[in-house]
Amino acid sequence: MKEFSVVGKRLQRYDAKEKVTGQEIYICDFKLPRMLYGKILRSPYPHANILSIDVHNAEKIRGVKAVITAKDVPSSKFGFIPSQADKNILCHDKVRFVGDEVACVAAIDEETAQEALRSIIVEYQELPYVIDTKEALSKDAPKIHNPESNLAFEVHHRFGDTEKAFQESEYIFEDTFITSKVAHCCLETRGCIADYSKGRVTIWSPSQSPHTLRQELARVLGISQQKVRVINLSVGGGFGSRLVMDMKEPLAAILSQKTGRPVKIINTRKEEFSTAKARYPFIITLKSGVNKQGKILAREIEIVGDNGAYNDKGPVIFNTAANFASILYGVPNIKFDGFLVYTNKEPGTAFRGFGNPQIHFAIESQMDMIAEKLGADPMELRLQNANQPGDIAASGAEITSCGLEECLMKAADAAGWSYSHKTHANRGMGMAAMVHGGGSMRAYGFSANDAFIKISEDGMVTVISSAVDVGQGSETVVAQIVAEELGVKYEDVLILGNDTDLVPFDLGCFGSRSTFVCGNAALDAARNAKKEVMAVAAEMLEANPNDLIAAEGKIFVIGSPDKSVSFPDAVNFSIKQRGKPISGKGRFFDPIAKDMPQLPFGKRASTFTFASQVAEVEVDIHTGQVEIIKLVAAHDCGTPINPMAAEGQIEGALCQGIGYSLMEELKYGGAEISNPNFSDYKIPTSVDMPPIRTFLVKTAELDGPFGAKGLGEPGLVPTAPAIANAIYNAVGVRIKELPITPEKILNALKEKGLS
Amino acid sequence: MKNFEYHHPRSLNESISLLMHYGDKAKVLAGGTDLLVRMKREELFVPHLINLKKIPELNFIRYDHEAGLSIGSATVLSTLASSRMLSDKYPLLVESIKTIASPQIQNMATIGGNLCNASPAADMASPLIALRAEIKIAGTWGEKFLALEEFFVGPGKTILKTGDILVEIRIPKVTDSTKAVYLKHGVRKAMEIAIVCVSVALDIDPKSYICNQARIVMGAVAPTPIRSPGAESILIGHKIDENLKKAAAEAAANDACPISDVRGSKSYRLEILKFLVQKGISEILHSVRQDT
Repeated sequence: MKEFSVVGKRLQRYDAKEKVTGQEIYICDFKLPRMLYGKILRSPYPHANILSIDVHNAEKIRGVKAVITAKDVPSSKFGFIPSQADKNILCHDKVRFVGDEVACVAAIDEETAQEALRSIIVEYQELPYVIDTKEALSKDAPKIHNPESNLAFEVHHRFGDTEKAFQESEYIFEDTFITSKVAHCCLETRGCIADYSKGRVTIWSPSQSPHTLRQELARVLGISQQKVRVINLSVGGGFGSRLVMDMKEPLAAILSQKTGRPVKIINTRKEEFSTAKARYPFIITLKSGVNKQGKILAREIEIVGDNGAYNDKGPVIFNTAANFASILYGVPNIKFDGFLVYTNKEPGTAFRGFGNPQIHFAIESQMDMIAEKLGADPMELRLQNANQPGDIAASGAEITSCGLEECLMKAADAAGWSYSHKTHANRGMGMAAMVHGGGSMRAYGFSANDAFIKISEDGMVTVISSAVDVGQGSETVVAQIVAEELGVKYEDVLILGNDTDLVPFDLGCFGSRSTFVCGNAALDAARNAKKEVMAVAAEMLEANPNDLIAAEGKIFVIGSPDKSVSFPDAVNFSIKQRGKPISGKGRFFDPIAKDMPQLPFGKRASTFTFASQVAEVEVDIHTGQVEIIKLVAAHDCGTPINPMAAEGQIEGALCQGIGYSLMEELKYGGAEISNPNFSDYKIPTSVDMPPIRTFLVKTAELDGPFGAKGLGEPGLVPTAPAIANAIYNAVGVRIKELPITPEKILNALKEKGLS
Repeated sequence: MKNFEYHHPRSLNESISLLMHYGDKAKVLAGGTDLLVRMKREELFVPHLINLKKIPELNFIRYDHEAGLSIGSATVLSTLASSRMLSDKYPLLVESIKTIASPQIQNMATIGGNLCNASPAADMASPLIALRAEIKIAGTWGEKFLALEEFFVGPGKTILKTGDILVEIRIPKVTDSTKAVYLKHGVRKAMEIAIVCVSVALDIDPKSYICNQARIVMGAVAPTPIRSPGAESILIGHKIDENLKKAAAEAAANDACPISDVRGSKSYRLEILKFLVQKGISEILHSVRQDT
């Protein structure tokens, strides 16, 4: 493989120092002159008619500048998918979950705004409510939107013939798995500042997709997109929670328009936990047919998903789950039925993994059950079924690069994989594999991104890139890609990209796509800028441009490194001597995306990443407590641009994966979330983290920038089933419901007479 | 959070008069790691906060060979945990402090605050009761001593009346033959509120293994931290063996009346309680055997 001088290096992230030392400015620090503070009055009831709202007393409070209710805002409905829009900016006649937006206030400070909320009198008529999906589907259930049914959406896919395949199967497995509703737990709660002035609204927001936010806000306010400008602030945690607008942006915009002053609205931690949307909980019934040799012939999946009170990304998440369920182990016959059900609860949204951690919990837990039935080592069964480069899945997905086999072997090897020979009582190992997207996402029918590069007279490179850095390091990665291509130092590359007035359109940071999509666009721009530099360097060196190489700030003739010119000198020469400033425009364009409607379903993702994780656990049979002894994660991410950042992505995801496996859950006491704070909603602390080993299994992804693929999400996709399998191996109880709490384990042990 | 007025009296008397003056509009601030969180969540509105941390009379650690240990109520937990004397003579207290939340919170929270917050799961309550702690309360009416176990009334409630302040915690000298353990069960290893916690203090004759004195104190299984009279009487005067441990655990469960809540169900709490009582007794026995 070619030696790179910047790509593949463990370089410190450009924003590391500011973040670690607390210098970075986040939305909670950010103030504008004359700024007001907005607060939202939220429904205390899960389901009720609004009979009247009296804001008279609130308006009279000194320092209150505006109070708005449904009659003051456009009556348009919002939804991530416009055809499924079902949410008013402020509730008109009905509230549908505890936390639904009823009124909004702008005041000179938070205390005054809070006081104004307490002075608003709302008369409600309580309605029967439903929080359980199965109940919500019953005929007599209270109806949340549609008077006919609470079914919000259904998704069906058929690849191959599962019925025939089941007839040919030696064994059939059918199990139901339940996954939990978990919160993103961003350290920064969600918020925005809106400034409506000179006929335009500017939004400062820690968004994951500023251009989408711009479209969404324009849509719901009924104004043209050019009247909306989104300036992205440092994002204090994304994980999918900042992909879809919530009502703060339109509310702040309307309040700003009304008062003529900027308005900031930020969630309290309780609001964040109870209204900022969460991972969709799934009830998954998984039926698999396996032949004598251990080949999986068919998979039938039925998912009942809890939509919560309003639509968001649910249908897209179902489709993602369906696609990956057809890819892992290349099962030729797939039947997928997904039902998304309205309940009177906080809605769901995107969350790292996008439906994939849920479906992997089911598939990879059952994989171990299959192995046990066949008397096979779970590792061998996975190796036997592992995807290979060049495979085409039942959904039509084409596997390009694939390092699954190597991931399985590497993780097992490093963990000292021993499934049948136990070293300690109540200790065991478990493994799980995964597939996820890591390239271009074509579900929108387009997938493209532009980038621009300008090079200053002193050789400094500025990249205008749409890559949204949500803490994962995408700007650092883009800088490394550009520096490598131009042959300059990483420190000499500056990234600009936080303003929709400045940067080209992009779908945003999701789907583990930034490195692939924005990285490719920036690489193309660098190539184009490089052509201009090389032409002038060739002239200066009296050489053929094709014989030149650029590296570490120098351009030299192949074979004679003494014959060189510095990168800044070449740029300077071009500008001053030849009157040609140097710049480059680049584009990532996925030609297949536009044909998506006619193409096989599996083509919706261009590139796939694979991984295998091994967990070793010890279970206390008296308390059900799980101690993770170690976690090993081997991930195929193509050729990593920055291995340190890649490892950081995996480590952070593993931490989230441990929480998802063992402790995290939004609990409902009645219709209200009973743990909307960090003392009762448990996430793992630093002392809960086990020793971790990560391996980057290198594959060459020909379509990726310098061979790279995405890695943002995969880290937590297989963690829960790996831990569940380890618990089974340790003490013989199979827990099919997340989180696997000590209480569930103890109950299962008692049922089996093991505790 | 609503605005409030902050007071920082320099003496015990000054704080008592401030508390009397503001009545139910005032609360004592003794670290704030529970109080300020609740105020921020708007579960509680307190117009006047009276900080006790700057009062020297409330901030001390004293040890006397006869009388034992005396701790000012506003003493910060991390100060206690880093005391060599405490590690040497009352290791149980240091162990239990180290299970509380995080180092950051241990640097702010005080021993008196942990007790006056009156959480049924308070990490300091059961170890102190197990060590027979007494407390000193002061008010306009003067001052008095009482056993710590009489201090708690219910979740978040103590016997303190308006103007009363918990001044001091006294722990008698621990006999050489007394051993104690604190066991806390939660889902994670730090930042955890106990699902169940248990302190076991036993005075066991190293030759006969007969238990001379016993305290079994349980947290998060009743409205207040409570002793288990049943378990204690089963142990006292008897040689401890497997059957006796089990019987003590069953008796402890009988004395407990846990609720089901967001942290755990009633049945799970009772299971864990029984296990922790047995584990506590076993650990002490093990340590007695090692000494002999």
